[in-house]
Amino acid sequence: MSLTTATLIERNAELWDAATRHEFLDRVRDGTLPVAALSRWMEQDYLFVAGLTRAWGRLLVGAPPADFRLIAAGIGAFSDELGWFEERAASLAVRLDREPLPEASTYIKDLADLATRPYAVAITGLWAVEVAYLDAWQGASGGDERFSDVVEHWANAEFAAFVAELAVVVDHELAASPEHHRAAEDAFAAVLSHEALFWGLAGLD
Amino acid sequence: MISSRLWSRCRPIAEQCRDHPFVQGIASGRLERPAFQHYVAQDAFFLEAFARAYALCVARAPDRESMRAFKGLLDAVDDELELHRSYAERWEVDLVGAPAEATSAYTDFLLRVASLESPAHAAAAMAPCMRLYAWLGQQLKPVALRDSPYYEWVETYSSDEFDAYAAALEALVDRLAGDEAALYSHYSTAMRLELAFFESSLASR
Repeated sequence: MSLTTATLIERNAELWDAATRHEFLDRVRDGTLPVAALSRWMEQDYLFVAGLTRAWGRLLVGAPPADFRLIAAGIGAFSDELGWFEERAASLAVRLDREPLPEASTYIKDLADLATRPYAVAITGLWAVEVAYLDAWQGASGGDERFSDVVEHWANAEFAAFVAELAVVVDHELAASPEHHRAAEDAFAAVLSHEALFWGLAGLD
Repeated sequence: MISSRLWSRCRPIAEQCRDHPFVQGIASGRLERPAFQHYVAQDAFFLEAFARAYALCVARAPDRESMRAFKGLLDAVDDELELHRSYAERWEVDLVGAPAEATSAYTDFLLRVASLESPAHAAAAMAPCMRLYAWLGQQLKPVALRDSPYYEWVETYSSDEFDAYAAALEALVDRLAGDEAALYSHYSTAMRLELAFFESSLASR
């Protein structure tokens, strides 16, 4: 069976669900999430996005020139995302000077390492971050209006188009390098495990 | 300012570049076509390495402001790469070949500094290319023959837009700063590699 973005998700269904479904997201959707929990989570996510931006910088080092523009667009989007956090920090009581919690710092470090792996492996892992994030927030959308602006920010059509474009590159890389399939799937699974843990940083448990 | 001191100290090499038969041949239009084709092909390798070096600077930037600035410069070099592809097509340049020795010497130097040293050192190694080309464009503009087949080159590098990119990178050199002797060492090495790059293109005829 050939490995593609679609089969990666199918073959890792349990991990996929853990990464994209969480009480935190359910309570965002039904509007019952305490604001303090959202703030705690956003503080860690801000640190994560900074690490993600750097990881994408490393990703470009090993990328074919044809993918430079897409990767640079990603770096730009994450950099803008940091600005978005900075604009909302005061109103949501989000502190931007927190230390990363262990789950966040391990994830950030793993992404930095992942970005320097063979390109097919690195791009698969970094796509996994985005596709899981998109799916999770799409699942949290369409509910109570309380957090709708935040949800829309993470589940919008522009982001979905970026993730789709990224998937085309991943499928192309996977088709061209079967020797990296095992490592790519391991990277995919590792990212999903990190994602699943990350929702817990809201401290609901 | 550090960047202007570095430029002043390297001015004799800049003048050697300006007076080089390759550069003078661009202005007069007398440069032989194969030499320019070789230069365009080699420049593609150079620009790719330049983009990778900027991406490494994004990954290793010490703060948000420099991360944003390096990202802006990465976008600019991506645009230049795109422009380059259409340029190469018009000049019937085959972009598939291998980098020449002078090209590899330069790209290896840039990527080594960007990978292993601070972003300040990387900026000092990258600034000469930007400032030299802006200066060469401005120096050649009043004397270049309008019907030189290479006049587009003069227009590109004498533009205000290109000057602004050079200034943005110089602002990073000044802000990130550091040991000026080390910065000078990188800056002057890059200037000499620029001269060797022109020399190599001329020798390729």
